[in-house]
Amino acid sequence: MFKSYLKIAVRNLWRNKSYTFINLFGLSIGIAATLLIVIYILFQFSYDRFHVNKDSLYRISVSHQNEGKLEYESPVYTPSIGPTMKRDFPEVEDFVRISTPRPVFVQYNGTAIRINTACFADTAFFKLFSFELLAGNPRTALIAPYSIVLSEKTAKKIFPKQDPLNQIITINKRAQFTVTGIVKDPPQNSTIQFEALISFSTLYRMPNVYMGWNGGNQYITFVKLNRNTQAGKVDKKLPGLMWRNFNKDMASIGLVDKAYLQPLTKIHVFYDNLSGKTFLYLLIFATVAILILLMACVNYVNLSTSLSLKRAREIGVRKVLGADKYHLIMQFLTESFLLSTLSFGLSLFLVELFFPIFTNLAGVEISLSNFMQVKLALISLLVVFLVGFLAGSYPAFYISSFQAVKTLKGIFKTKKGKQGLRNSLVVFQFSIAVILIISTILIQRQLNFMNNMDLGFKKDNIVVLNLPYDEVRQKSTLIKQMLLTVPEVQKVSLCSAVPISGFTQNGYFPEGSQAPVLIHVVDADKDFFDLFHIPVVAGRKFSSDFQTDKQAYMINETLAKSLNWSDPIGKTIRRNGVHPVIGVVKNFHFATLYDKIEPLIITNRPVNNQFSTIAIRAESANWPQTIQSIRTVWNRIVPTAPFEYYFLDQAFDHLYRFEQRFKNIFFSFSLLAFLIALLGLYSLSSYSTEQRTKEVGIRKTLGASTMEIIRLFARNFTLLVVIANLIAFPISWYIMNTLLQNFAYRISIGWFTFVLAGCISLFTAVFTVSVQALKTALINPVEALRYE
Amino acid sequence: MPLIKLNHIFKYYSSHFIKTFVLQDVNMEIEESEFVTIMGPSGAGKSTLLYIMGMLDEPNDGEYYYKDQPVHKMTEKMRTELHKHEIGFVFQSYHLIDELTVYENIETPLLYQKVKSSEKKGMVADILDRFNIVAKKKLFPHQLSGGQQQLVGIARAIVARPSLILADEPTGNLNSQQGEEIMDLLTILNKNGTTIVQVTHSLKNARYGNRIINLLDGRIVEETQL
Repeated sequence: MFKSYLKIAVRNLWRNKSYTFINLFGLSIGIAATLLIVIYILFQFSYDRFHVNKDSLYRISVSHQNEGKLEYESPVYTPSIGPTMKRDFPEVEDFVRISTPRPVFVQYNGTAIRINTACFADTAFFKLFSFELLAGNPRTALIAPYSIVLSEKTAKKIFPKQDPLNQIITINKRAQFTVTGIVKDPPQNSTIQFEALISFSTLYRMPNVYMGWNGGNQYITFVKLNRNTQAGKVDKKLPGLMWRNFNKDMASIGLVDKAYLQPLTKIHVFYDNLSGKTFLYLLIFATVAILILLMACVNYVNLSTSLSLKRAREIGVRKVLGADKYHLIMQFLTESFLLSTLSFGLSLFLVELFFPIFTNLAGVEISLSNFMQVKLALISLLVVFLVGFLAGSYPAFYISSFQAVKTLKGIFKTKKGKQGLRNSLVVFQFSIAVILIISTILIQRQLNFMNNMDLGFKKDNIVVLNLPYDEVRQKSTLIKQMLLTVPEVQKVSLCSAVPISGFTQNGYFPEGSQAPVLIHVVDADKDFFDLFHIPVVAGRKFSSDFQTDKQAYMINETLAKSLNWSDPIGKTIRRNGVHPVIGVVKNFHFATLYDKIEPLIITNRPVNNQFSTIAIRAESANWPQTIQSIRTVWNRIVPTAPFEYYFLDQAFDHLYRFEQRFKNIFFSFSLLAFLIALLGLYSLSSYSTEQRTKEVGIRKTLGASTMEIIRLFARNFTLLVVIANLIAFPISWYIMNTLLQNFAYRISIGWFTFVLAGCISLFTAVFTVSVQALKTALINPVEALRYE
Repeated sequence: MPLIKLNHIFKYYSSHFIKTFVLQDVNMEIEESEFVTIMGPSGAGKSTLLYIMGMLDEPNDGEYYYKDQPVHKMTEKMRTELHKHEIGFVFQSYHLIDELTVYENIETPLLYQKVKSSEKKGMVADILDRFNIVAKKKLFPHQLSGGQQQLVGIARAIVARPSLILADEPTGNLNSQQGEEIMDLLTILNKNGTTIVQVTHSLKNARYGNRIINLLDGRIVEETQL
């Protein structure tokens, strides 16, 4: 029986080749898009699942509250919490602390190499995590102070030829480390990323490293719970531990730290990145994928219910020959399943073809072979089944309900109501297409807005140099003087950081306040303000004329406002001495646009009296040449130090790369969705014009012009697209308004985007229908009438 | 026991509150092995009566007993079951399925009756042989002449060995020679025990049967025993 279903399905698909092609095309694009998004989502959820202990590992995250108000939340905390938990909680089997990654410079055999991400890590690192050691002993590699484990890639860079194990390398020109292991590079789907690991015991040998409870928040702590221990049990005990060790002492000034456990495997999607919004983004992608698939199915439903008129007689005959509803439903489902299977096959080619483009858009480095796994196969099967069922079931039930007598007597007409269903499906498709268009335009506008926003400082034509270590930093003033001799260079400033992704925070006692206040701080010399075009709105900026300015602070408007200082000049702020405020700068964005501008202190005296960054403003027609001149200055003063530079505006673009990628993916899939909607419209209008060839012939003999014929066909479809737009407008406004709330600084949505999306959808729809109508309108009426 | 017994059959269509009667108070009995012809002008309700007998259409009122079973009380499922085992249809415009070959067209009723594959092959081969169309079994309907198509139509109607054949103007689209051949074939089937009810305009064709029922405006106006 199935063989017979299959046979008739194949013959029918073959007979209506052009419609089959449209269905196949739409469905395979829909399935391919869905598979790509599924792969992307699977990848995002694959983070940290390669650890054998993944289910018993947790990260400790702490939310910091001041007077009951959440200040911020971060897993970066004191080094004490891990050991204390292991001591006090029998449920905690072990812990690992990993310091925030820092850049270090490695010297070996006269060459200097920068390692961007070196982390201090506890001995248990290799016991708890499943990073594979290629050389060395996992149990002992991180025990002894001054031990370093290099990633495979880093090891190859430093030791291109010899065996790195047990070699001695110098770090930051200060201390010597022994290479005790080579570890396989962390996979991309690992939250924990590093190029080198340094034994945690090293920290205890270093001066000025604070290892207590009241600060030094530089460490991320992971704990491994005993088998069968629920995280909730530990979570319940944590407030007590926090009270005994920290909150009790801080209660008088209103500070409370609340710690809780985050399952390792949930960190990437639910806690990190985009302030935990990754899941939301994945949800949006998944929705778009499902919508694209639905739209492709809608095309199938519309086409096959239209074409069913042609098959009504066959249905009647089959009923006469003894087919019951079940047989007919099975026959039509076979057809749709055959089509969805064929589309799936085709979509595999499309996935293969577009995979490199997609990964590039999405900014992930994954290989397709990683996903040839059971999960994907099961999802594919589900997709094929879903498409076959969604697309096939309605036509199957609809067509099989035809009355045999009517179809055989030739008095059969599709009901007016079915026209209504087709129309509503077209409206559905176009509503979604328009929602996607509007969202894409708005996302693009928000990104443009962020790129062109007045940040309160000028980010163009600024080159930033990192001063890697003490030896270079000590010569910063000399480097600055020499740089100023380069003709293109206009201004040079020494500072601790440039405004891009935020400044560090410290505790301060502003005049009149008893409790310490966490305030952002940047250290800068007097040229910082001119270089970045940051205006001083009250008082004055730092000056070399006043020796006392080394102790002076400048603040931003927000800080003055938050302290209710109407005249801040002359007020003082206490931290390691008393510092007078000499000037107020106009607010500028020193963090991402997700955040509002927060209070800021600018000091004139850097930590250890050394600035770590040089910002250069230059006017150049030939940047490579200018960079070369800067490099020459650098090499003359610090020849052995690595020269590293970047352009501030490019770094700014990099800052929003995830948003940019999101937009790229979103744009591509919106385009696809729109194409599928147009394809559906194209086939529907082609069917309807074919149906009405005779009517057109009669109208033409009665004197209708070509234009009037086109209008006849376009009117109905235009109306549908207009309705779709009216439905899409409020929905997309709501969605985008909600999404944009994430940005502290955002565009106002405005009506123009809606008009634009409306025009795009209307114009393309009318064009599509008109092409079809024109073809029919141009047929010689005599031909059209003889056709009957 | 009559094969078919119709009591007070009414069939009408309502539109805009006006009832248009197609059949009015039709009563008849058809015995097994009869060859009955229904005649009458266009619109007299001949085809509707045939479809009601074939259980493809339902009367609005009245009783229908098939081999003493009350069809008017059956569910659609039961009717389909009865219809597919008992009744074969032959149409004026053949109604072969265009996408299926001669063989496949004939095979279709057997598929719906879940006849075993080996048995099915035998039954189809037997029919092809009897109708002398073995050579044409792989052809599609559009490759055949009208007479040949109707031959296939009849072959398909009887392949499942029904007790009753309902033929709606079986020769209407054929020339006279082809028509005669088809009528001869129906006669032979009738001689072998199959009950036949045909609708026709042609008195000549009507004479192949043993009884003529004349319909006018949905009522039986005359019955002639031949």
